[in-house]
Amino acid sequence: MRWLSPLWERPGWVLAGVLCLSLLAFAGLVDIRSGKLRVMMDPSVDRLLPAGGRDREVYEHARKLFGSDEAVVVALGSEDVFTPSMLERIVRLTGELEALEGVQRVLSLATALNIHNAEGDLRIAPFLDSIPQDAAALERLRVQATQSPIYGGELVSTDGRTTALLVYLDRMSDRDLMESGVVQRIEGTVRAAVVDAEVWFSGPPYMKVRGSEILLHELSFMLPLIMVALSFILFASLRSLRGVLVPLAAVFVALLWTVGTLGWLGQTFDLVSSAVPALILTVGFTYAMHVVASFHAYFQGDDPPESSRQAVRRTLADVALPILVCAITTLVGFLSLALNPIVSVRLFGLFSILGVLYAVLATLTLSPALLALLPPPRASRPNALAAGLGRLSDFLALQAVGHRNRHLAIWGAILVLALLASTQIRVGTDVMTGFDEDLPLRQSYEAINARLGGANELQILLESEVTEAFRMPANLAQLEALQTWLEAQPEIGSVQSIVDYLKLLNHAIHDDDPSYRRLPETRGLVSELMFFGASPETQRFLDARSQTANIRVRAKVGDTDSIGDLVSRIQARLAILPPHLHGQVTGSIAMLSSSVNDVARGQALSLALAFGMIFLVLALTFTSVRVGLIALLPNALPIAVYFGALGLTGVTLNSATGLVGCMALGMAVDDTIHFFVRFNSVARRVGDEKLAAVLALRELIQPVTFTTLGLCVGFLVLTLSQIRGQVEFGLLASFTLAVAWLADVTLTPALCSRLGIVTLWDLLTIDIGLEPHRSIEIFDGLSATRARIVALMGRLVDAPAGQRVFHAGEPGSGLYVVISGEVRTWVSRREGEVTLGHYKRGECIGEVGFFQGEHSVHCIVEQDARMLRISSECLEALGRRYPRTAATLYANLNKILAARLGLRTRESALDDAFFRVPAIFRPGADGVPGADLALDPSLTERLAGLGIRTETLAALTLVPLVRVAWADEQLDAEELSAVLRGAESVGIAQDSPSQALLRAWLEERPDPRIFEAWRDFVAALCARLTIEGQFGLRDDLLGRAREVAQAAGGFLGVRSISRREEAVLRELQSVFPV
Amino acid sequence: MNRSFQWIAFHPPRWVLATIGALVASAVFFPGPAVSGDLGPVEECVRRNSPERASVRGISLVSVDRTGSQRKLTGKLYWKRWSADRSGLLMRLDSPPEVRRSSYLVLQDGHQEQMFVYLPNMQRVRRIHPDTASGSLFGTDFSYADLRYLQMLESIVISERLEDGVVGERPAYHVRMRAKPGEKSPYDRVDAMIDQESCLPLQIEFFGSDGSVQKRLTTPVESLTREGDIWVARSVALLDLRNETSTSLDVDGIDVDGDVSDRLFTVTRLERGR
Repeated sequence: MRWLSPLWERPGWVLAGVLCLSLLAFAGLVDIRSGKLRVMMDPSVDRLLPAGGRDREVYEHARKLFGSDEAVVVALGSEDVFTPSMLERIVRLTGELEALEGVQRVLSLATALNIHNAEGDLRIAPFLDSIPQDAAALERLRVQATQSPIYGGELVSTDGRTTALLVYLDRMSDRDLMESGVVQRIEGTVRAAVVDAEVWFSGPPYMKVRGSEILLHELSFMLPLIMVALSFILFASLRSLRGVLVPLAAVFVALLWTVGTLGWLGQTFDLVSSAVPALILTVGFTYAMHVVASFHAYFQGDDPPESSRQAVRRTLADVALPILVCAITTLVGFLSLALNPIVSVRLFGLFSILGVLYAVLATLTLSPALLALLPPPRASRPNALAAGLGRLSDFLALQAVGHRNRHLAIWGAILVLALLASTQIRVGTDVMTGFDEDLPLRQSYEAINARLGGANELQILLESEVTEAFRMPANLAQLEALQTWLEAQPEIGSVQSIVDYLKLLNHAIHDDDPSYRRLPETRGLVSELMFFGASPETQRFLDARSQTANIRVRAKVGDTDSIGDLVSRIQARLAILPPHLHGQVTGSIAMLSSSVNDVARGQALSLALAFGMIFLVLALTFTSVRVGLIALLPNALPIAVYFGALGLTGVTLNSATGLVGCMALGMAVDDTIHFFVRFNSVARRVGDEKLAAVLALRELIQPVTFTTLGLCVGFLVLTLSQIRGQVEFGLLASFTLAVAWLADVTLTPALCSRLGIVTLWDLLTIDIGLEPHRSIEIFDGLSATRARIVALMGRLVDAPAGQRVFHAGEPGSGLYVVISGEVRTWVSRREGEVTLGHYKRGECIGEVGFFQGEHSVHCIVEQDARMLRISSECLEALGRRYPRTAATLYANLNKILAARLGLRTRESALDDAFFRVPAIFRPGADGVPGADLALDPSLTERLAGLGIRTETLAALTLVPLVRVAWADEQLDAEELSAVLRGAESVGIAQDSPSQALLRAWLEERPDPRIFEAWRDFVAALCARLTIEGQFGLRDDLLGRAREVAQAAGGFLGVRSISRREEAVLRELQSVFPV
Repeated sequence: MNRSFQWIAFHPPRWVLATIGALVASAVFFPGPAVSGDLGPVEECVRRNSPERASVRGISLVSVDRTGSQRKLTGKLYWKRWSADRSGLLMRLDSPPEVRRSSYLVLQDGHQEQMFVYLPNMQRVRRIHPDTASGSLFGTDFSYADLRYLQMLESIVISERLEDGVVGERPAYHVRMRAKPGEKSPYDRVDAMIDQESCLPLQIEFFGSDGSVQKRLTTPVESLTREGDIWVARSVALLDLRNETSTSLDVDGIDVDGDVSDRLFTVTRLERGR
């Protein structure tokens, strides 16, 4: 913790550092000179594709050979395109668009070449080289354009009511595309020029720019909305402005650092990774909330810190490690995504890792620094919400613990149903229909898709090993046959290839003779036409060596299912081509379709990795494979339910929805870890696993619920998105996390209720000296780790020299292992005290008493000693959790016993049970309590002043019970009965003065000084007791007090202890030195 | 006529032959532009370096696409001028073999142009409609627009002389050309550095509307040779920086102002394919 001390000692410096980093991040986010965002959005399909692999190679090869054809598609719709006014408008608009900066060329009816015969001459000129004015010429033009095998369907619809202008842009980077404003200029120019016709825009550059604007717009309102929602949750939980602002500041800074870093790195968000900012806010919120809630809790407790800085120090001691462990598991979830083959998923994982790291950093720096600088908060009364959650947790936990098997069966059934439903999962993506139907982007896409020859382009590459293969008529005939087959497929809108071009040329050069609308018959003619007709257009269909032909297919379907079916059929058709021709289907939409396998494979890989790594973390944290598996179970179930939900709802598994599994696993496991750690500490405290499960859940339900609520609300905000992937991601993520919460508050307590847990942290920090397995006889044959586990299951006791450990005749419920220091055993003989032995590190004492139930010798500490007390309960727990270890331990005990039995002489003389509890309270000869204990006279006087005299001394033994009974400010009938039963058990007769005093305490809350007097009395008493006696006294009193505490508020047979009663029990426990 | 350079992207009739004719006549560029103002010395220099009546030369065009594939075209160019406004140009290809003997004929009479193509496998001559446009020279990087600038056509280009410069230690005139108002051009401006000794361009850069160089034509100094009274560039390279492609034009077998038969420039002779 020393390294964290600047956080509370120098908060100003910490804030200055955070500010500097934030300024640096801001400079990464925004270009200071231009004021423009440096972080960009890229909603293109390319990011949803695998980064490598055979498909990607083919795709890149095709782009290299034939270009990317990335143009802004401008579609104009009217009753009839072929009117003089409309045609003139197309010509004028083409010219205006060509004149725009950033536009390389425009392909439209005004520029596309019409190859035909004109008055006996071969004419190769744009369709609109001159605008026809008479009806016949217009009709001729309509026929030429709509029936053009190259441009019909692409530049003009077959019904002549829609025409397209393909605006090719200068080669530029995505950043230049966004910053140049060329797309906006194109849209502005078109809208200014066309006022009486419908206009639609599409194409990859348009999609990038407008999709990017949509993403930015969504972030601009979603992120503030998430912060507002989180504010409400924070206020509901913490009820203070500080409790709202400090976590919000931390998550805001984490977000700023993340996007700033991405800006410096030149990274872009895409359709998937654009969810990262919302994710950072929600994940960061959970961390920051833990810090602030823990800080506040200190000021609500009985021992509030003196200053904010002191509270920060304590808070960090409590939460720093759990937050780091939780961050590790969350990072593991995202790390598994970073290995996914899909680019966008990989980037989502990497961006999220960065964001989570920054969230942890901001939470552990900014939040503590701010809290340290602010004045301490005032204590506030628990709010009704918290009380309600407390009742809910009791109900859930008691159900879980009381009906463990029923819970396990219910969750088992859910698991089976979820797995069955998950068999219906469909894998698929449809990028464009993923946008909201009301968005112009989507409407344009649909309109263009419906009116022109399809908006989704596939490419089919036909390759030969021979150069100039596609100058051979036989190969061209194969190409033609394939094209004919393609045109017959229902999903396909249009098909173009070099065949169309050659046919057109052949037809035109033969005076438009219809019989020549066919492929040339000889290689020579083909070559001549290709030479004669060489143009950039032919380069779209055939490479320079005439070795690879490109068939451009426009599909009217866009979902990966339909495209996948189509691609499969095409591949089957390509398989029957002659052996010297190799066909491959490519294009971004085809890759997207084939990437569904990558999505599924990536999902399986990522989940397997996440499960594996998180299991390792859990097994390591809880030092047990079994506990690791058990802790994984409440987190595996929500993932199964998530897959079941996918199957039931029909939502497809895709790059966006596929993120949920790993992400939710990484997040949900945090709550499990919190629960297991808390359960561990409570179980040690109360010594009852069922009760520990109940109490642990009560302590955690508020933070777990509020953090889950924050996460769910944060993800639900994504459902306001106009992008379906984001909506589905938000819904599924919040649903899965809600199920994970349910599993954590029901299944986890049920699983824990029979577990003994040792955490790695305990294991590392417990001090039992070097090589305990070699230097301590009872650990012989165990590993060092196992020896430490045994020590953790037992109890370490530090005792000063002169302290009695146990006394002959005392009940023996535990044996002692000397860790350090020295103890001595002795017996009383007629001739006096006879020392039996001195015991140092590694040796056992009390083993006979442990087995016989009563100690036969006296034991005292000779030099300050540390001892490990191993009780029978500890051995029972070991037997359940670590049976081999327990067996070894028992075997070692047998050896030790066998060795010592022959050496020791048992003395049967037992002292009177002077040290036994009832005897302690025997009055002195003068009627003043504690006279034979030689109490401090001032304490005696204080007792007398409080009405405790000889005849009422017995009532003093019941002060702890009364204290507990009044813990909730009121005393109900069950608690009253429990206290009176306690009185009866210690021999306080009815109508005795002691009972009268006791009843007075039960009618009206006793003076607090009585408890203080009792505390001092017990402290004085313990100074004269053996350690074993102290354990006995403590267990006896605390046991009775717990019975009183459990007397009211229980449910279904399992008693409940309130938070305040628990605090009183802790207070009582603290009175005892052991 | 509404004409846009972007779609002049098809095949090589009138302008190709006219331009290549100009190359032949002037031993590569600048067949004698009418320049004005302080362009006088440049104009005089270019005019001095032009053939008078006829020329014949072999050419070789090698284009390299962005995948590295090369395509080579060889042939002969015949150019003849009968008077100031009457000229003829014949281009006959020798290779690749499948297009051997394919020929183009351009006849210019004043403002009238007629263009014919002969494809030997078709065994017929087709007249090409005058509206037919083209931009890519046989699929090379040379475009119609480029060549118009190379010719410094007075009708469409405004030229201005800038401060002289140096290219590879050779003093050069610096001429900037822009399209006249109303004339469409894919380029914002074209800067030419003309060698003061040979009167041939050593470097020409074609600038796009965004101010970046889109194409760069270079003439290696060592390729400049003197043929009789005029200088000839035997090798020129054009690099298309946008499309990452290039084309080199090599000239050999030069015959300036020799005997060239008039019959070569007839449709009848073209139909014979000889």
